[in-house]
Amino acid sequence: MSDATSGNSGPNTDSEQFGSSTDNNGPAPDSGQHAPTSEDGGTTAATGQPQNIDAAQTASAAGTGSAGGSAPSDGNGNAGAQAAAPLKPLTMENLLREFNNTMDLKYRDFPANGVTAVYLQYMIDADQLYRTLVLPFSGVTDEMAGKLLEQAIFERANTLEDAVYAILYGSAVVFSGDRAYKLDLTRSIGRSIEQTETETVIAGPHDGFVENIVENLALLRKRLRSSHLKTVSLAVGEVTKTQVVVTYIEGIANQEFVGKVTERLKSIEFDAIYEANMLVQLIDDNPNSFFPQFVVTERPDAICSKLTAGRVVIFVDGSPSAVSAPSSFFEFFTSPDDYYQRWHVGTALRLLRIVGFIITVGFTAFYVSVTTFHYEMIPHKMLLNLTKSRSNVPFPPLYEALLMETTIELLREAGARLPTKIGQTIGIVGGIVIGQAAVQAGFTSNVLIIAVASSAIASFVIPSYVMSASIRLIRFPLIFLAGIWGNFGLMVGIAFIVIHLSGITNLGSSYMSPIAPMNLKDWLDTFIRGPFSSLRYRPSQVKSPNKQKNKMRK
Amino acid sequence: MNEMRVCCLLLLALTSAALLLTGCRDEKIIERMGFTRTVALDFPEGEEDKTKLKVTISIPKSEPVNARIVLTTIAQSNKEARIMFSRQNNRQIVSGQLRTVMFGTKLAKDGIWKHIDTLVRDPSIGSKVNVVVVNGNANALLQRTYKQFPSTGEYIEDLVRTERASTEIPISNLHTFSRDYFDDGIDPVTPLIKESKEALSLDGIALFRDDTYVMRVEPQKSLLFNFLHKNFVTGEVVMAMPVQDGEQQRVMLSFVASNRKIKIRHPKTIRGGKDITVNIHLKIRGEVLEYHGKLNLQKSSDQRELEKRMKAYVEKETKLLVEKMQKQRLDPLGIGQHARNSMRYAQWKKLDWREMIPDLKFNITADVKIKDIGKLQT
Repeated sequence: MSDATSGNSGPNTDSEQFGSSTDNNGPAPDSGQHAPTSEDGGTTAATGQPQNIDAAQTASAAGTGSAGGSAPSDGNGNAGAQAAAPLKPLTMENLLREFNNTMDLKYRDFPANGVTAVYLQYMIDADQLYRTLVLPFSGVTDEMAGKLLEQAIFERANTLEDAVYAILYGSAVVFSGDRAYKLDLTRSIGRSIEQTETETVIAGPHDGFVENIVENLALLRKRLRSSHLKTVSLAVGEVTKTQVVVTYIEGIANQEFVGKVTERLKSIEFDAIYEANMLVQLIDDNPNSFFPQFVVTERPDAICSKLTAGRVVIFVDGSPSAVSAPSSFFEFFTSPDDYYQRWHVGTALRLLRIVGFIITVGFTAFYVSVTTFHYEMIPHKMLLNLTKSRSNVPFPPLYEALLMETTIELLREAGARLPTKIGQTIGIVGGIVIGQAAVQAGFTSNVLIIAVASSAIASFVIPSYVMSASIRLIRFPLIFLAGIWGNFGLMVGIAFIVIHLSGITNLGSSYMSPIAPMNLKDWLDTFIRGPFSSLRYRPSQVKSPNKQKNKMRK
Repeated sequence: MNEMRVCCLLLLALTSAALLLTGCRDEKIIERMGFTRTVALDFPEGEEDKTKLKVTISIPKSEPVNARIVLTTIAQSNKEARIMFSRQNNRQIVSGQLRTVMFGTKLAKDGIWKHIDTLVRDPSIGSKVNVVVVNGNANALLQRTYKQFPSTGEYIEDLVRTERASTEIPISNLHTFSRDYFDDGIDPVTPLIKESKEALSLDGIALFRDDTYVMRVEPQKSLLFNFLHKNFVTGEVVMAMPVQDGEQQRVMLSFVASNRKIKIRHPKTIRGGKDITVNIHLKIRGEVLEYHGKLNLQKSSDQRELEKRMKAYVEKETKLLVEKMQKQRLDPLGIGQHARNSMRYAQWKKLDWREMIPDLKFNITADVKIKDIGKLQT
């Protein structure tokens, strides 16, 4: 039966306690009960446990879940209900049958007392196995073994399915007589915490999330020591059963958004989830939009600020990225760096990014439209130079621009795919070839090189890689429109983008917040980074029940 | 889902429209265009046929530096000339980069509005195109190359711009010209240029009655005209005052700031120009950086004396200038606008302002102050 975490009352140390509590959370496809999640810190652990189990039982009994499908390959966090359909008794034989042809499944029995443990060999920590199972149970009598199994680290497994999940998530299932217990022995797998490569900052913490959700939650808890920080675990992916943890701060996050997020996560019927960026595309409001709709970041400090701003954060096991929801378009242009600089500098940086956005979207398109249609707009001196360099080019500006933009994108993509050392070579070779030779060969004009290069550079100013890729993509239709209709086409394109952006919702809230709906107080923390004394309220988009953020100024 | 489909259809429609309509767009790819930078308009020399127009255009080339194409033709109108030029030229002639339009004296004396009208009407031509009158033959001036200077078109622009910055000439472009032409209380003005042996030079200010050039203000007097014409904050003026104490006095005022105030007084019923009194008060502040004369400028009493003489000079000279303009029934100062503002519109409509100008009573007072006497203070 699905157990619901609980603070671990075992004799573990603090950090272990944290780790195991979240792990226990995992195997349990705990349906959307937010309340029973661990009230961490281990203070009320003893009383917490039975109560939680009760809650979880009722939850799973009430769970809906689609019927059919074999038990282990069906998830959606409603596995409890599925168990009712085949209803195989939880016995050693059934469990082993479930795992037939599994070379890494091992079991260990203790003949002196008839206790048998079953586990996946590579998923568990051998040392822990020795300390918690092998050592205590070796050579003890039946009676003693029964006593040992009453420890809190042993949790009763009530159904076969429960036991199967427990094993899959790195627990050992211990059979004693007709009873079965789960014992969490998860081994930490993956790289240790290191700097994120996609979102580096100059000043500020350098640690980044990693693929291991245990580490990630530990990072979070270390930064946000609040018992109000809630963590709800769900299993997503019908085959992968990826552990997804929804976190939020109770009293600051709006429960409506928490409910929406968990509900959407639970209704995912997709075979596999490998990444947070993949998960968000399954739960966003506008799957066909070319803009990313949830901020995804690898930075723990950013995630903490999202949580304290009242947003809901989703962690996905196996992904170094965490998702924050709801998000607004302009959030993608902010970086934690902004808050670590003086506010003037932070403000300048934010405005710079907006300028970068405009340049990325419009510069090349504007070049095309001006050289094709609007020669009147070019200053006279520049016009002469432009004509000079254009006069060797055999193509109209539109083809010229598309050609160069494609080349730049090729360079960028090649650089991203190659190992860093070769990537640099590509950059140099590409830079020289594209920069010098293309102009001399009469392939493009040098002003276009400037336009293309500066818009490529400007696109990398945007902190979110996903957003920057989207923006780089929408340049192409704009260039095309500019080449066909000139400035009119450019305006048509921009109007389409604005209309599209205004139509996007994000968990039902406006993506364009705080421009539409207009909220000038929010501008202080969107387009400019106001001094901390002026950042008094949480963003209006999150509809926080506790709006005030800064109580120093009365 | 339905929304999605509508969106897709709309996009499809737009794309196909964009592609299908591509054939009939007015593409103007820069390297296929010839950009007229300067136009000169005049009557053909030696012909009395006033329907013919001699047009010269100057098209700068990107290489070599300062090179340009100069084309001349005789046509009925400016636009017709453009078509004729296009026949000659390997590039399509466009006028979106026009910077200066020049009129010959003969044409200017005949009236230039119909040519200005063509230019203002064309949406590709900006409103900041300089309007210049050439003292002499405009076509010949544009055709010539002045070796020491950049290409003639650019030369004229630079000349007009720098002289305007030092308040030698008033601002004159398509916008100001058509504004002053249509406004009934003011007449347009333009700079005058002429060619000399090796260079071009400013030759004062051309004053227009409606659209015909009637009077010239000499370059020596143009700053005096500017005192009356508008307020400005920078400028330089040389005042060659009459002989006094047996010596020619010469003062050069630099960094001159000038402020004019116009007050109109008239009785309730106006029977003629004599009823209207125009009080112009000029407040002029400047630094004396050059002084040839007997006064000792270190002494403040002598400074006051110099101020007094300058005041007398300004008052006398401006009065002369105004009288000359009155004689020609000209109002480039915009006195009419002030008069119109001082009465009801119905009353203004009844007046024949142009005919009243010669009879207006002008009182010009000047207040000249020396701000500083320069670095040398012994």
